Amino acid sequence: MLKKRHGSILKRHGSDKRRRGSSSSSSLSVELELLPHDVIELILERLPVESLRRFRSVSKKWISTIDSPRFQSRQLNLRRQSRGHDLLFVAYYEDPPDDVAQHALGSSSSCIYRTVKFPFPNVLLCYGSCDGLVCFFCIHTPNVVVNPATRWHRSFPFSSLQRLIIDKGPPFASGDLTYELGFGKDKLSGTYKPVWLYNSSEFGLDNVTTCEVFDFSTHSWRNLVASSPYPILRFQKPVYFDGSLYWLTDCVETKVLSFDLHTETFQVICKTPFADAPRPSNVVLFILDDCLCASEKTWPTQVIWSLDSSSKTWKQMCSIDLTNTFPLFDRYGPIPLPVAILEKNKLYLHGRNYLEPLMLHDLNTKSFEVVSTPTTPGDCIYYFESLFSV
Amino acid sequence: MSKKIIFESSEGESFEVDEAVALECQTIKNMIEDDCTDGGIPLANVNSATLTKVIDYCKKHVEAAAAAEANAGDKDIYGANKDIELKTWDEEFVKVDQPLLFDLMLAANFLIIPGLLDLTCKTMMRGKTVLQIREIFHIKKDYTDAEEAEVRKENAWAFE
Repeated sequence: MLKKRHGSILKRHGSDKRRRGSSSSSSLSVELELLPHDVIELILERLPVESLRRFRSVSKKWISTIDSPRFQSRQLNLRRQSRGHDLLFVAYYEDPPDDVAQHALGSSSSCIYRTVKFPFPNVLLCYGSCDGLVCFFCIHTPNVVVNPATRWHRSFPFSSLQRLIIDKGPPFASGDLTYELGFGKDKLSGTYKPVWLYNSSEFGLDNVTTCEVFDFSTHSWRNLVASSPYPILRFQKPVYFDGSLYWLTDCVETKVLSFDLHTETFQVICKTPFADAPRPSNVVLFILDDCLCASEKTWPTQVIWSLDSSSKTWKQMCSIDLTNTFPLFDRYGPIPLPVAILEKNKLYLHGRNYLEPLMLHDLNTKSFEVVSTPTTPGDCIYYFESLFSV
Repeated sequence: MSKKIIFESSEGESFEVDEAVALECQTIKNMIEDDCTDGGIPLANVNSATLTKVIDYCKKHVEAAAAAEANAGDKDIYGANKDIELKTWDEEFVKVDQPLLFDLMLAANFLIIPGLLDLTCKTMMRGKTVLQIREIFHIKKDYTDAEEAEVRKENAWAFE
Protein backbone atom coordinates (compact mmCIF):
# COMPACT_ATOMS: atom_id res chain seq x y z
CA MET A 1 0.00 0.00 0.00
CA LEU A 2 1.42 3.37 -0.99
CA LYS A 3 1.47 6.11 1.54
CA LYS A 4 0.04 9.40 0.36
CA ARG A 5 1.98 11.75 2.55
CA HIS A 6 2.66 14.20 -0.23
CA GLY A 7 -0.76 14.14 -1.71
CA SER A 8 -1.63 17.55 -0.46
CA ILE A 9 1.69 19.12 -1.39
CA LEU A 10 1.61 17.77 -4.89
CA LYS A 11 -1.82 19.11 -5.70
CA ARG A 12 -1.73 22.59 -7.02
CA HIS A 13 -3.61 23.51 -10.10
CA GLY A 14 -7.12 24.41 -9.10
CA SER A 15 -8.62 23.77 -12.48
CA ASP A 16 -7.26 20.29 -12.51
CA LYS A 17 -10.20 18.34 -11.18
CA ARG A 18 -12.51 19.71 -13.79
CA ARG A 19 -10.08 18.98 -16.57
CA ARG A 20 -9.42 15.33 -15.86
CA GLY A 21 -11.45 12.64 -17.48
CA SER A 22 -12.20 14.61 -20.58
CA SER A 23 -9.79 14.89 -23.43
CA SER A 24 -11.93 16.53 -26.06
CA SER A 25 -10.49 19.79 -27.23
CA SER A 26 -13.71 21.71 -26.74
CA SER A 27 -13.83 21.08 -23.00
CA LEU A 28 -10.13 21.85 -22.84
CA SER A 29 -10.73 25.29 -24.29
CA VAL A 30 -13.26 25.95 -21.57
CA GLU A 31 -10.61 25.02 -19.03
CA LEU A 32 -7.89 27.06 -20.68
CA GLU A 33 -9.97 30.11 -20.21
CA LEU A 34 -9.50 29.52 -16.49
CA LEU A 35 -5.75 29.39 -16.84
CA PRO A 36 -4.34 31.59 -14.10
CA HIS A 37 -2.41 34.56 -15.40
CA ASP A 38 0.76 33.43 -13.58
CA VAL A 39 0.78 30.31 -15.76
CA ILE A 40 0.33 32.53 -18.85
CA GLU A 41 3.35 34.55 -17.67
CA LEU A 42 5.27 31.33 -17.22
CA ILE A 43 4.66 30.49 -20.87
CA LEU A 44 5.29 34.00 -22.17
CA GLU A 45 8.61 34.56 -20.42
CA ARG A 46 10.06 31.64 -22.38
CA LEU A 47 9.20 33.05 -25.79
CA PRO A 48 11.45 34.92 -28.21
CA VAL A 49 11.17 38.71 -28.35
CA GLU A 50 9.60 38.70 -31.79
CA SER A 51 6.63 36.59 -30.61
CA LEU A 52 6.22 38.71 -27.50
CA ARG A 53 6.09 41.90 -29.53
CA ARG A 54 3.33 40.33 -31.61
CA PHE A 55 1.40 39.03 -28.60
CA ARG A 56 1.17 42.53 -27.14
CA SER A 57 -1.96 42.86 -29.23
CA VAL A 58 -3.68 39.83 -27.66
CA SER A 59 -5.23 41.75 -24.75
CA LYS A 60 -4.69 44.61 -22.31
CA LYS A 61 -3.58 42.17 -19.65
CA TRP A 62 -1.01 40.63 -21.96
CA ILE A 63 0.43 43.98 -23.04
CA SER A 64 0.78 45.17 -19.46
CA THR A 65 2.59 41.93 -18.60
CA ILE A 66 4.92 42.07 -21.60
CA ASP A 67 5.73 45.75 -21.03
CA SER A 68 6.46 45.37 -17.30
CA PRO A 69 10.12 45.63 -16.21
CA ARG A 70 9.79 42.61 -13.92
CA PHE A 71 8.61 40.43 -16.80
CA GLN A 72 11.30 41.80 -19.11
CA SER A 73 14.03 40.92 -16.58
CA ARG A 74 12.69 37.41 -16.16
CA GLN A 75 12.50 36.95 -19.92
CA LEU A 76 16.14 38.04 -20.34
CA ASN A 77 17.34 35.83 -17.47
CA LEU A 78 15.63 32.78 -18.95
CA ARG A 79 17.04 33.60 -22.37
CA ARG A 80 20.53 33.79 -20.82
CA GLN A 81 20.11 30.47 -19.08
CA SER A 82 18.73 28.66 -22.09
CA ARG A 83 21.77 29.16 -24.32
CA GLY A 84 24.79 31.37 -24.91
CA HIS A 85 24.87 34.77 -26.55
CA ASP A 86 24.24 35.48 -30.20
CA LEU A 87 26.51 37.47 -32.46
CA LEU A 88 25.36 40.54 -34.26
CA PHE A 89 27.27 41.89 -37.22
CA VAL A 90 26.26 45.54 -37.41
CA ALA A 91 26.72 46.80 -40.96
CA TYR A 92 27.55 50.49 -41.20
CA TYR A 93 26.82 51.41 -44.79
CA GLU A 94 24.66 48.97 -46.71
CA ASP A 95 21.86 46.56 -45.95
CA PRO A 96 23.12 42.99 -45.86
CA PRO A 97 22.10 40.66 -48.69
CA ASP A 98 19.24 38.39 -47.64
CA ASP A 99 21.19 35.16 -47.91
CA VAL A 100 23.75 36.18 -45.28
CA ALA A 101 21.27 37.75 -42.91
CA GLN A 102 21.25 34.93 -40.36
CA HIS A 103 22.79 31.55 -39.67
CA ALA A 104 23.71 29.32 -36.74
CA LEU A 105 27.30 28.91 -35.61
CA GLY A 106 28.60 25.51 -34.53
CA SER A 107 26.95 22.13 -34.76
CA SER A 108 24.88 22.65 -31.62
CA SER A 109 23.44 25.77 -33.31
CA SER A 110 23.34 27.45 -29.90
CA CYS A 111 24.72 30.71 -31.25
CA ILE A 112 23.05 32.70 -34.02
CA TYR A 113 25.12 35.00 -36.21
CA ARG A 114 22.97 37.76 -37.60
CA THR A 115 23.74 40.69 -39.86
CA VAL A 116 21.79 43.89 -39.34
CA LYS A 117 21.79 47.46 -40.59
CA PHE A 118 20.15 50.18 -38.53
CA PRO A 119 18.77 53.34 -40.05
CA PHE A 120 21.36 55.52 -38.27
CA PRO A 121 24.28 57.19 -39.97
CA ASN A 122 26.57 56.66 -36.96
CA VAL A 123 29.56 54.59 -37.82
CA LEU A 124 30.94 53.57 -34.46
CA LEU A 125 29.57 51.07 -32.01
CA CYS A 126 30.35 50.56 -28.33
CA TYR A 127 31.84 47.21 -27.40
CA GLY A 128 29.36 44.38 -26.85
CA SER A 129 25.90 44.90 -25.46
CA CYS A 130 24.18 45.43 -22.14
CA ASP A 131 20.80 43.79 -21.43
CA GLY A 132 20.22 43.49 -25.16
CA LEU A 133 20.95 47.18 -25.79
CA VAL A 134 23.68 48.47 -28.09
CA CYS A 135 25.03 51.98 -28.37
CA PHE A 136 26.18 53.99 -31.41
CA PHE A 137 28.25 57.15 -31.49
CA CYS A 138 30.23 59.38 -33.84
CA ILE A 139 30.86 63.09 -34.30
CA HIS A 140 28.38 63.76 -37.07
CA THR A 141 25.03 62.76 -35.58
CA PRO A 142 23.82 62.39 -31.99
CA ASN A 143 24.58 59.20 -30.10
CA VAL A 144 21.85 56.58 -29.98
CA VAL A 145 21.07 53.55 -27.85
CA VAL A 146 19.19 50.81 -29.70
CA ASN A 147 17.45 47.56 -28.91
CA PRO A 148 18.07 45.50 -32.07
CA ALA A 149 15.31 43.02 -31.19
CA THR A 150 12.49 45.52 -30.70
CA ARG A 151 13.96 48.37 -32.78
CA TRP A 152 13.34 50.68 -29.85
CA HIS A 153 15.90 53.52 -29.82
CA ARG A 154 16.71 56.75 -28.02
CA SER A 155 19.10 59.49 -29.09
CA PHE A 156 21.29 61.43 -26.71
CA PRO A 157 23.37 64.56 -27.31
CA PHE A 158 27.08 65.05 -27.94
CA SER A 159 29.38 65.12 -24.91
CA SER A 160 31.92 67.88 -24.31
CA LEU A 161 34.59 65.68 -25.88
CA GLN A 162 32.55 65.25 -29.03
CA ARG A 163 31.90 69.01 -29.15
CA LEU A 164 35.60 69.73 -28.66
CA ILE A 165 36.48 67.50 -31.56
CA ILE A 166 33.76 68.97 -33.75
CA ASP A 167 34.86 72.53 -32.89
CA LYS A 168 38.49 71.79 -33.64
CA GLY A 169 37.50 70.64 -37.07
CA PRO A 170 39.91 68.85 -39.40
CA PRO A 171 42.26 67.11 -38.97
CA PHE A 172 40.73 66.18 -35.60
CA ALA A 173 37.25 65.66 -36.90
CA SER A 174 38.16 64.01 -40.14
CA GLY A 175 39.67 60.72 -39.02
CA ASP A 176 38.61 58.11 -36.56
CA LEU A 177 37.90 59.08 -33.00
CA THR A 178 40.98 58.56 -30.85
CA TYR A 179 38.77 57.54 -27.94
CA GLU A 180 35.65 55.43 -27.93
CA LEU A 181 32.46 55.54 -25.90
CA GLY A 182 31.73 52.98 -23.18
CA PHE A 183 28.21 51.78 -22.42
CA GLY A 184 27.17 49.82 -19.34
CA LYS A 185 24.84 49.50 -16.41
CA ASP A 186 24.99 50.39 -12.75
CA LYS A 187 23.84 47.01 -11.51
CA LEU A 188 22.63 48.29 -8.13
CA SER A 189 20.37 51.06 -9.38
CA GLY A 190 19.69 49.46 -12.78
CA THR A 191 20.56 52.67 -14.68
CA TYR A 192 22.41 52.64 -17.98
CA LYS A 193 25.43 54.90 -18.39
CA PRO A 194 27.33 55.93 -21.49
CA VAL A 195 30.85 56.97 -20.39
CA TRP A 196 33.62 58.89 -22.14
CA LEU A 197 37.13 58.67 -20.76
CA TYR A 198 40.03 60.45 -22.46
CA ASN A 199 43.51 61.74 -21.77
CA SER A 200 43.20 65.39 -20.69
CA SER A 201 46.53 66.60 -22.04
CA GLU A 202 45.47 66.24 -25.66
CA PHE A 203 42.65 68.68 -25.07
CA GLY A 204 44.46 71.02 -22.68
CA LEU A 205 42.35 69.97 -19.70
CA ASP A 206 43.25 69.36 -16.06
CA ASN A 207 43.93 65.96 -14.42
CA VAL A 208 45.37 62.92 -16.13
CA THR A 209 42.09 61.90 -17.67
CA THR A 210 38.67 63.48 -18.10
CA CYS A 211 35.51 61.48 -17.60
CA GLU A 212 31.97 62.30 -18.68
CA VAL A 213 28.91 60.27 -17.78
CA PHE A 214 25.53 60.58 -19.47
CA ASP A 215 22.49 60.57 -17.23
CA PHE A 216 19.33 59.36 -18.99
CA SER A 217 17.09 60.66 -16.19
CA THR A 218 18.20 64.28 -16.69
CA HIS A 219 19.14 63.70 -20.33
CA SER A 220 22.47 65.45 -19.88
CA TRP A 221 26.19 64.78 -19.58
CA ARG A 222 28.03 65.49 -16.36
CA ASN A 223 31.76 65.77 -15.73
CA LEU A 224 33.23 63.57 -13.05
CA VAL A 225 35.81 64.78 -10.58
CA ALA A 226 37.28 61.28 -10.40
CA SER A 227 40.17 60.70 -12.73
CA SER A 228 42.27 57.72 -13.70
CA PRO A 229 45.79 57.66 -12.18
CA TYR A 230 47.22 56.78 -15.61
CA PRO A 231 46.48 57.94 -19.13
CA ILE A 232 44.61 55.37 -21.19
CA LEU A 233 45.63 53.60 -24.36
CA ARG A 234 44.05 55.20 -27.42
CA PHE A 235 41.97 53.43 -30.07
CA GLN A 236 40.47 50.97 -27.57
CA LYS A 237 36.83 50.14 -27.03
CA PRO A 238 36.00 50.24 -23.31
CA VAL A 239 34.62 46.84 -22.32
CA TYR A 240 31.54 46.51 -20.14
CA PHE A 241 31.58 43.56 -17.77
CA ASP A 242 29.54 42.88 -14.64
CA GLY A 243 28.81 46.45 -13.53
CA SER A 244 32.11 48.04 -14.56
CA LEU A 245 33.83 49.41 -17.65
CA TYR A 246 37.42 48.43 -18.42
CA TRP A 247 40.27 50.18 -20.27
CA LEU A 248 43.97 49.51 -20.85
CA THR A 249 46.34 52.16 -19.50
CA ASP A 250 49.15 53.78 -21.43
CA CYS A 251 52.09 53.66 -19.00
CA VAL A 252 55.06 51.57 -17.97
CA GLU A 253 53.63 48.09 -17.34
CA THR A 254 50.27 48.47 -19.09
CA LYS A 255 47.47 47.95 -16.60
CA VAL A 256 43.77 47.19 -16.58
CA LEU A 257 41.70 50.09 -15.32
CA SER A 258 38.15 49.64 -14.11
CA PHE A 259 35.37 52.14 -13.57
CA ASP A 260 32.64 51.02 -11.20
CA LEU A 261 29.41 52.31 -12.73
CA HIS A 262 27.71 52.48 -9.33
CA THR A 263 30.33 54.22 -7.18
CA GLU A 264 31.76 56.04 -10.24
CA THR A 265 35.32 55.44 -9.08
CA PHE A 266 38.40 54.26 -10.93
CA GLN A 267 40.58 51.42 -9.80
CA VAL A 268 43.67 49.79 -11.25
CA ILE A 269 42.82 46.10 -11.28
CA CYS A 270 46.09 44.46 -12.28
CA LYS A 271 48.94 44.46 -14.76
CA THR A 272 48.25 43.13 -18.22
CA PRO A 273 49.92 39.90 -19.28
CA PHE A 274 51.69 41.58 -22.21
CA ALA A 275 54.76 43.70 -22.63
CA ASP A 276 55.16 47.41 -21.97
CA ALA A 277 53.71 50.06 -24.23
CA PRO A 278 52.08 47.79 -26.78
CA ARG A 279 50.94 49.23 -30.08
CA PRO A 280 47.23 49.95 -29.54
CA SER A 281 46.33 48.00 -32.67
CA ASN A 282 48.06 44.87 -31.34
CA VAL A 283 46.16 44.48 -28.09
CA VAL A 284 42.50 44.21 -27.17
CA LEU A 285 40.23 43.66 -24.16
CA PHE A 286 37.04 41.65 -24.63
CA ILE A 287 34.61 39.17 -23.08
CA LEU A 288 34.80 35.49 -23.86
CA ASP A 289 32.81 32.78 -22.09
CA ASP A 290 31.62 35.29 -19.48
CA CYS A 291 35.17 36.25 -18.55
CA LEU A 292 37.20 39.42 -19.04
CA CYS A 293 39.97 38.53 -21.47
CA ALA A 294 42.96 40.22 -23.09
CA SER A 295 44.82 39.38 -26.23
CA GLU A 296 48.05 40.45 -27.89
CA LYS A 297 49.26 39.90 -31.41
CA THR A 298 52.95 39.58 -32.17
CA TRP A 299 52.82 38.34 -35.72
CA PRO A 300 52.31 35.51 -36.41
CA THR A 301 51.24 34.67 -32.84
CA GLN A 302 48.09 35.81 -31.06
CA VAL A 303 47.82 34.90 -27.38
CA ILE A 304 44.57 35.03 -25.39
CA TRP A 305 44.45 35.28 -21.59
CA SER A 306 41.44 35.21 -19.30
CA LEU A 307 41.31 37.05 -15.99
CA ASP A 308 40.40 35.20 -12.84
CA SER A 309 38.11 37.74 -11.24
CA SER A 310 38.80 36.79 -7.63
CA SER A 311 42.58 36.36 -7.68
CA LYS A 312 43.10 39.00 -10.41
CA THR A 313 45.55 36.75 -12.19
CA TRP A 314 45.78 35.96 -15.89
CA LYS A 315 45.60 32.49 -17.27
CA GLN A 316 46.67 31.77 -20.83
CA MET A 317 43.72 30.34 -22.71
CA CYS A 318 45.41 29.69 -26.02
CA SER A 319 48.13 30.73 -28.40
CA ILE A 320 47.18 30.94 -32.06
CA ASP A 321 49.42 30.79 -35.10
CA LEU A 322 47.95 33.29 -37.54
CA THR A 323 50.28 32.38 -40.42
CA ASN A 324 47.55 30.61 -42.38
CA THR A 325 45.07 33.47 -41.97
CA PHE A 326 47.18 35.68 -44.22
CA PRO A 327 46.09 37.42 -46.41
CA LEU A 328 42.49 37.23 -45.12
CA PHE A 329 43.64 38.95 -41.95
CA ASP A 330 46.08 41.78 -42.65
CA ARG A 331 49.30 40.98 -40.78
CA TYR A 332 49.84 44.69 -40.13
CA GLY A 333 46.18 45.36 -39.37
CA PRO A 334 44.48 45.49 -35.97
CA ILE A 335 44.43 42.34 -33.86
CA PRO A 336 41.49 40.06 -34.77
CA LEU A 337 38.79 40.20 -32.10
CA PRO A 338 37.84 36.89 -30.43
CA VAL A 339 34.03 37.04 -30.36
CA ALA A 340 32.90 33.61 -29.18
CA ILE A 341 34.14 30.22 -28.11
CA LEU A 342 31.76 27.35 -28.75
CA GLU A 343 31.96 23.68 -27.81
CA LYS A 344 35.15 24.35 -25.81
CA ASN A 345 37.48 24.47 -28.80
CA LYS A 346 35.82 26.43 -31.61
CA LEU A 347 37.10 29.97 -31.43
CA TYR A 348 35.53 32.65 -33.61
CA LEU A 349 37.79 35.52 -34.62
CA HIS A 350 36.53 38.63 -36.33
CA GLY A 351 38.92 40.70 -38.41
CA ARG A 352 38.59 44.38 -37.56
CA ASN A 353 40.12 45.76 -40.70
CA TYR A 354 38.05 46.80 -43.71
CA LEU A 355 35.91 43.83 -44.87
CA GLU A 356 37.89 41.20 -43.00
CA PRO A 357 35.98 37.95 -42.41
CA LEU A 358 34.69 36.11 -39.38
CA MET A 359 36.87 33.02 -39.05
CA LEU A 360 36.52 29.81 -37.11
CA HIS A 361 39.70 28.51 -35.53
CA ASP A 362 39.65 24.98 -34.16
CA LEU A 363 41.89 24.97 -31.08
CA ASN A 364 42.48 21.22 -31.37
CA THR A 365 43.23 20.82 -35.06
CA LYS A 366 44.65 24.39 -35.39
CA SER A 367 42.72 24.81 -38.64
CA PHE A 368 41.07 28.00 -39.92
CA GLU A 369 37.84 28.32 -41.84
CA VAL A 370 36.02 31.40 -43.16
CA VAL A 371 32.55 31.60 -41.62
CA SER A 372 31.32 34.81 -43.17
CA THR A 373 32.76 37.59 -45.26
CA PRO A 374 31.07 40.95 -44.81
CA THR A 375 30.06 42.89 -47.88
CA THR A 376 30.07 46.15 -45.96
CA PRO A 377 32.19 47.46 -43.07
CA GLY A 378 30.81 46.79 -39.62
CA ASP A 379 31.43 45.58 -36.09
CA CYS A 380 30.76 42.20 -34.57
CA ILE A 381 29.21 42.22 -31.10
CA TYR A 382 27.93 39.60 -28.68
CA TYR A 383 24.37 40.06 -27.60
CA PHE A 384 21.24 38.61 -25.97
CA GLU A 385 17.80 39.50 -27.30
CA SER A 386 15.68 41.42 -24.81
CA LEU A 387 12.62 43.66 -24.48
CA PHE A 388 14.59 46.35 -22.63
CA SER A 389 14.54 50.07 -23.25
CA VAL A 390 15.99 53.03 -21.33
CA MET B 1 21.29 -2.05 -8.71
CA SER B 2 20.21 1.56 -8.69
CA LYS B 3 17.57 2.78 -6.31
CA LYS B 4 14.01 2.89 -7.63
CA ILE B 5 11.39 5.56 -7.10
CA ILE B 6 7.69 4.89 -7.47
CA PHE B 7 5.31 7.49 -8.91
CA GLU B 8 1.58 7.13 -8.68
CA SER B 9 -0.57 8.83 -11.31
CA SER B 10 -3.92 10.50 -10.67
CA GLU B 11 -5.62 7.25 -11.71
CA GLY B 12 -3.67 5.37 -9.03
CA GLU B 13 -1.37 3.59 -11.46
CA SER B 14 2.20 2.97 -10.22
CA PHE B 15 5.30 3.77 -12.28
CA GLU B 16 8.71 2.54 -11.17
CA VAL B 17 11.70 4.57 -12.36
CA ASP B 18 15.43 4.74 -11.60
CA GLU B 19 16.31 7.36 -9.06
CA ALA B 20 18.54 9.06 -11.65
CA VAL B 21 15.50 9.57 -13.89
CA ALA B 22 13.37 10.92 -11.03
CA LEU B 23 16.18 13.38 -10.17
CA GLU B 24 15.47 15.20 -13.43
CA CYS B 25 12.46 16.65 -11.58
CA GLN B 26 13.63 19.33 -9.15
CA THR B 27 10.54 18.82 -6.98
CA ILE B 28 11.29 15.11 -6.63
CA LYS B 29 14.99 15.79 -6.13
CA ASN B 30 14.14 17.93 -3.10
CA MET B 31 11.90 15.18 -1.75
CA ILE B 32 14.62 12.56 -2.24
CA GLU B 33 17.09 14.81 -0.43
CA ASP B 34 14.59 15.20 2.40
CA ASP B 35 14.25 11.43 2.35
CA CYS B 36 10.49 11.40 2.04
CA THR B 37 9.95 9.22 -1.02
CA ASP B 38 9.50 5.90 0.72
CA GLY B 39 6.35 4.16 -0.32
CA GLY B 40 6.02 6.11 -3.55
CA ILE B 41 5.08 9.60 -4.60
CA PRO B 42 1.43 10.23 -5.42
CA LEU B 43 1.01 12.77 -8.21
CA ALA B 44 -2.63 13.69 -7.83
CA ASN B 45 -2.65 16.08 -10.78
CA VAL B 46 -0.66 14.11 -13.36
CA ASN B 47 -2.58 11.44 -15.27
CA SER B 48 -1.04 8.19 -16.54
CA ALA B 49 -0.75 9.30 -20.18
CA THR B 50 1.11 12.46 -19.16
CA LEU B 51 3.27 10.70 -16.60
CA THR B 52 4.32 8.09 -19.18
CA LYS B 53 5.48 10.90 -21.48
CA VAL B 54 7.23 12.78 -18.66
CA ILE B 55 9.15 9.64 -17.67
CA ASP B 56 10.11 9.07 -21.34
CA TYR B 57 11.46 12.58 -21.51
CA CYS B 58 13.48 12.28 -18.28
CA LYS B 59 14.89 8.88 -19.29
CA LYS B 60 16.00 10.18 -22.67
CA HIS B 61 17.69 13.22 -21.15
CA VAL B 62 19.46 11.20 -18.46
CA GLU B 63 20.77 8.84 -21.15
CA ALA B 64 21.86 11.73 -23.37
CA ALA B 65 23.65 13.45 -20.49
CA ALA B 66 25.42 10.19 -19.58
CA ALA B 67 26.48 9.72 -23.21
CA ALA B 68 27.73 13.29 -23.47
CA GLU B 69 29.68 12.85 -20.24
CA ALA B 70 31.26 9.67 -21.52
CA ASN B 71 32.25 11.37 -24.77
CA ALA B 72 33.44 14.80 -23.78
CA GLY B 73 33.77 14.71 -20.03
CA ASP B 74 32.24 18.13 -19.71
CA LYS B 75 28.78 19.27 -18.87
CA ASP B 76 27.42 22.59 -19.97
CA ILE B 77 24.62 24.66 -18.53
CA TYR B 78 21.29 23.27 -19.45
CA GLY B 79 20.58 23.31 -23.15
CA ALA B 80 23.79 25.07 -24.10
CA ASN B 81 25.43 22.17 -25.76
CA LYS B 82 22.76 19.69 -26.78
CA ASP B 83 23.55 17.59 -29.75
CA ILE B 84 21.39 17.64 -32.82
CA GLU B 85 20.07 14.13 -32.20
CA LEU B 86 18.56 15.13 -28.85
CA LYS B 87 17.02 18.24 -30.40
CA THR B 88 15.39 16.14 -33.09
CA TRP B 89 14.14 13.74 -30.45
CA ASP B 90 12.67 16.65 -28.48
CA GLU B 91 10.90 17.96 -31.57
CA GLU B 92 9.34 14.56 -32.20
CA PHE B 93 8.48 14.21 -28.53
CA VAL B 94 6.21 17.28 -28.53
CA LYS B 95 4.33 16.33 -31.69
CA VAL B 96 1.23 15.63 -29.61
CA ASP B 97 -2.26 17.14 -29.49
CA GLN B 98 -2.84 20.45 -27.73
CA PRO B 99 -4.50 18.96 -24.58
CA LEU B 100 -1.58 16.58 -23.93
CA LEU B 101 0.93 19.35 -24.67
CA PHE B 102 -0.87 21.50 -22.14
CA ASP B 103 -0.82 18.69 -19.54
CA LEU B 104 2.89 18.17 -20.16
CA MET B 105 3.53 21.87 -19.64
CA LEU B 106 1.66 21.89 -16.32
CA ALA B 107 3.41 18.70 -15.20
CA ALA B 108 6.81 20.16 -16.12
CA ASN B 109 6.00 23.31 -14.18
CA PHE B 110 4.84 21.42 -11.16
CA LEU B 111 7.61 18.79 -11.12
CA ILE B 112 10.12 21.53 -12.06
CA ILE B 113 11.72 20.09 -15.20
CA PRO B 114 13.11 23.29 -16.80
CA GLY B 115 13.95 21.72 -20.17
CA LEU B 116 10.52 20.20 -20.64
CA LEU B 117 8.80 23.37 -19.48
CA ASP B 118 10.76 25.42 -21.98
CA LEU B 119 10.11 22.93 -24.77
CA THR B 120 6.35 22.70 -24.20
CA CYS B 121 5.83 26.45 -23.77
CA LYS B 122 7.70 27.27 -26.96
CA THR B 123 5.96 24.53 -28.92
CA MET B 124 2.55 25.66 -27.71
CA MET B 125 3.04 29.21 -28.95
CA ARG B 126 5.23 28.71 -32.00
CA GLY B 127 3.91 30.25 -35.20
CA LYS B 128 0.59 31.22 -33.63
CA THR B 129 -1.24 34.33 -34.74
CA VAL B 130 -2.85 36.71 -32.27
CA LEU B 131 -6.28 35.38 -33.28
CA GLN B 132 -5.20 31.78 -32.71
CA ILE B 133 -3.81 32.72 -29.30
CA ARG B 134 -7.12 34.35 -28.32
CA GLU B 135 -8.92 31.23 -29.46
CA ILE B 136 -6.64 28.76 -27.66
CA PHE B 137 -6.66 30.67 -24.39
CA HIS B 138 -10.25 31.87 -24.74
CA ILE B 139 -9.24 35.47 -24.30
CA LYS B 140 -11.80 38.11 -25.16
CA LYS B 141 -10.46 40.96 -27.24
CA ASP B 142 -10.65 43.93 -24.87
CA TYR B 143 -9.07 46.42 -27.26
CA THR B 144 -11.21 48.68 -29.40
CA ASP B 145 -10.34 48.39 -33.08
CA ALA B 146 -8.54 51.74 -32.88
CA GLU B 147 -6.52 50.66 -29.83
CA GLU B 148 -5.60 47.40 -31.47
CA ALA B 149 -4.51 49.18 -34.62
CA GLU B 150 -2.33 51.45 -32.47
CA VAL B 151 -0.61 48.49 -30.75
CA ARG B 152 -0.13 46.79 -34.09
CA LYS B 153 1.47 49.94 -35.41
CA GLU B 154 3.94 49.90 -32.52
CA ASN B 155 4.70 46.30 -33.39
CA ALA B 156 4.80 46.98 -37.11
CA TRP B 157 8.31 45.61 -37.63
CA ALA B 158 7.26 42.33 -35.95
CA PHE B 159 4.87 41.68 -38.82
CA GLU B 160 7.48 42.19 -41.48
